[in-house]
Amino acid sequence: MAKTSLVLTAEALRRRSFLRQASTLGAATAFGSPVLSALAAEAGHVTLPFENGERELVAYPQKRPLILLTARPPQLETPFSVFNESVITPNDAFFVRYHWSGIPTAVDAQTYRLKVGGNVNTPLELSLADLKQMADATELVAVNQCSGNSRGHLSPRANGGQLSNGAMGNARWTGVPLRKVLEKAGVKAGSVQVSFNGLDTPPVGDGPDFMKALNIDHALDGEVMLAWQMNGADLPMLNGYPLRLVVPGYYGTYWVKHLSDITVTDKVFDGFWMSTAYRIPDNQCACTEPGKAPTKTVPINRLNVRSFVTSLTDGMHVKVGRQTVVRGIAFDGGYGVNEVAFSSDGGKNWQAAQLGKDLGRYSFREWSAAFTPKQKGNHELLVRAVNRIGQGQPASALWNPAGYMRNVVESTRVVAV
Amino acid sequence: MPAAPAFALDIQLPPETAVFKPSQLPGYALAQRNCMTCHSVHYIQSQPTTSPRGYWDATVRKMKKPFGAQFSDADIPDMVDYLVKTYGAERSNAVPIANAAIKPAAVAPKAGATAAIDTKALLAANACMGCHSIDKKVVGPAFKEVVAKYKGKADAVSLVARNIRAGGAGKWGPVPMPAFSQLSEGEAMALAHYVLAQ
Repeated sequence: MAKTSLVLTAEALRRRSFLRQASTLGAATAFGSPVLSALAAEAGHVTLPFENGERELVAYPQKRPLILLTARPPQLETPFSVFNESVITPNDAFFVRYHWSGIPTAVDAQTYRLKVGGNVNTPLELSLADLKQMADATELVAVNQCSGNSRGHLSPRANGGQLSNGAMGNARWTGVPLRKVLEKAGVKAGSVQVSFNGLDTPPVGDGPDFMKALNIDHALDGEVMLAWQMNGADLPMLNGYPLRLVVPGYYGTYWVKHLSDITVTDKVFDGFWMSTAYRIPDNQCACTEPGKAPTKTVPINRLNVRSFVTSLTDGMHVKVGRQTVVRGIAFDGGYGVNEVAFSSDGGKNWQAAQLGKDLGRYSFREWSAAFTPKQKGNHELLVRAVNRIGQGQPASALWNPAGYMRNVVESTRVVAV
Repeated sequence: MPAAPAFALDIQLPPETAVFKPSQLPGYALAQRNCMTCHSVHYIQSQPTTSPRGYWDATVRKMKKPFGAQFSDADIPDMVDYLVKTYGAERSNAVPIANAAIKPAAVAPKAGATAAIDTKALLAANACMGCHSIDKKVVGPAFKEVVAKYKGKADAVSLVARNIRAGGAGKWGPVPMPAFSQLSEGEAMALAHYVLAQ
């Protein structure tokens, strides 16, 4: 079948998004330009905008067709157009990440138990009903972003999961603060950290089970929560059914799925996935010179500031002389986005974008800005955000060997016709 | 109030279709059986194709330590060579590609025909126990489950022998069994006899 290149105006994209669910093109609509490479989508396939970026779109249980990174274990990326549909990422579009292929595919909610133990007065074995009765349910809108989101865009390339910008999502999480559970168990004096384990395991062999840890004060901060719902519905199986950890403002590696064990420790947890994996350079930029290894590292932690244009993608056409409203999202690690600036001329001139409804400091924040292209031809749109403590985004991409924490000012090239 | 279902949530994963690119290089068969035990080929095929030999070498070794893969150190050089020449920086059109079409064994079982073949050595050489055990599912079905499935079938040995050589997915679940086309029909029959005797 010949590859079809469709060129859409922003208006046509809005109309097309209504049809998206029924479309044979699935979640990623087709648009592109003969001049610039774009997220060209055919039925069942997309090409991400980096070398070796061809991917299938596959529908997994409880999911619409998503970008397939790996089948075993399932790792699925959200097509970027989803972020233009709504500031809340629907459950059936939310990305999926696993470390080991020994994943649970059937969980009995009646017999499921969460064990709480270690340096506590009273070890606990809690059912879902126990957890739901412990306190009034808490709700929080928070972004979950993979540490390696956007890794495929790095130059030079970094090995690991070759993701475009879709390993992130914004959802309303419902559950109970971890603090309530730890208070019920009674944390003993001298406790240093809390470790978390889930039901997924290595398929064979003695590899390190995926376990993460938080410092005790962080675990007790009242915001870290055990969530049993996402956007008002049970967690999809692939996003951690029946219970997952939610660590607002922190990278997704901490958001342990299918939670099974919580263990309070009197020393720093030294499991592989804290002491060796998921480490970032211990400096202000969490970066190194391209190709170089860091001298000292710390565990990855809080999200940095990011912003994206969502209503237009590379190669799309806009009308010369007509006002175009550009829309997008911005987010940070929980201090709150304070300002978003937009440029339609490659960064020569900047204007303040209008910020949309504030769903909380851990949520995506919508923004919009209007511009009128004065002449035909290429226009480079840039967006950058700053948060309440003055953290921003670099104009040129930073680098580290693991390909974590990419947050360069994003560029979108449109053509005025 | 009616009893809750046995499982509140139960999902079926779609079939896994990614396969290693066929090659005459000895690392092809090694990659199939050593890598696919734990994960799909996507991890390999999605890496930047500029990835150099040093990356593939370090990554294969990482799979053993610390990730617990149980293949022999002796397999590593051939695996690395195949990976860098098929998916990485040393790819070239000059690398010959094996004919991927497998002719299934059509030979009827003959009594005593497999007496000279060392089945235990074949099991070890092909790392069958990396994915199978006698009595419980590991990655693939337990041999006892295979026995139950083929019980009463007159041509069970030749069917199982054909499946060993051809590989495939869907008979037992979504995870594919790599093809063991390098086995002779006699060797595959010997293994089939062994499995069906469990």
